[in-house]
Order: sequence, then C-alpha cells, then structure tokens
Amino acid sequence: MGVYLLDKPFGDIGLKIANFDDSAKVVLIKDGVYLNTSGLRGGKVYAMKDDVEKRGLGKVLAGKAELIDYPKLIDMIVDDKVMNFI
Amino acid sequence: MAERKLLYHFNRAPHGNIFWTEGMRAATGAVAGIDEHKVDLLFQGDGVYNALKDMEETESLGYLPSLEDAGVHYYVVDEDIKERGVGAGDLKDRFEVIDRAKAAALYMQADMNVDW
Repeated sequence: MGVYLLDKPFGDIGLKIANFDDSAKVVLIKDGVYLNTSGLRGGKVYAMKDDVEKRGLGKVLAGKAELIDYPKLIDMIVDDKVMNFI
Repeated sequence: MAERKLLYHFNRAPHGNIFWTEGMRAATGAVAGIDEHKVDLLFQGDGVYNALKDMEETESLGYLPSLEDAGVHYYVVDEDIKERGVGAGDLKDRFEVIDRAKAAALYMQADMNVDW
C-alpha cells in the first residue's frame, strides 16, 4: 500500500502499522537500520546503503534488506504514499 | 486542490517540544480555508500521553472548538495505552480508543498522513 520510512525511535510504531500491509515497502533510514524487522509478516524491507555501510551493518542485513541509494528512495516516495516515522 | 482525507499522527509525548501544539495548529488550518480537508488525529506510542485527562494543554485549547466543529476524530491506540499502564478512564472524553488494526486502516484510508 505504501512506503514506510523508519528511523529510531519511532520506527517500531511504523513496523507495527506495516504489519497490517501485505505490500508494505519498509525503508530503514539513519539509525532505523538498527531496527529488528524479523517480526514483519509481509512486505519487503529496504535499507539506505550509505547508512548501512557507515554503521558496518552490511553483513548483519545481508539477505534481510535490499540496499538502496537516494535516487531510488526518491522514486519510491514519488510513486507511492509515504508513512513517515522519522 | 479539492478536499482530501488527512491523517495526523502523534508519536511523541507532549511538552518539552512543540509537536503537540503545532500539530493541533496545523490540523486547525487543514480543516479551515477553501478546501476544508477531513482530518483524523491518531495518538500512538508515547503520543498516547497527549490524551491524559490531566495533561496541561493551555497552549492548544484555542484550537479545540474549530476541530470539534469540523468533526475531527481523536483516536488513541489501545495496545499503547495498556503497554504504558494507562486506562481508558484516564483519557479525555474526546479520545476514542481503537486497536492497532483500526489504526492501520486509518493510514490506508487517508490520502496522505503527517507525523508530529
């Protein structure tokens, strides 16, 4: 249904809402890359590549999130409804 | 721009910041003017503390009559008040307690949402 843009500390709320959206596009940004998305029932998880790499989380998130850059994020935001939890 | 359905969601506890007051001010602006948008207010996470009966809200009291006239709904998430040891009886009368599924439905029904 939309893009869920998640940072800490409000990202946990966004995850709870996204759990009711089978087509959720969950985007982890800034410290949101530390969020545990393992309980997400559906949808797809993306993470901002720069934020993941700066925090050394590449291996931690491997297979759990698709890494994207800002041009891709902007495309997603323009194309879809955004739920902001930053 | 025609009338749109807006969801303003409050995720922060009141005071110590300006989000509560500014959110109420913005909601008042959205229901006024040419477009007269439909607005729902959703309080979740620590935002549920905004709904407490004894929460001092002098700075935003002026917005309440306009929001009431516009039929604005105030929703607070049941799971979040319970997690914080808050009972439904502790809340101001204008707040309606809903579950998380209903909150998610509000996002889906809204044309756009704004966080505070």
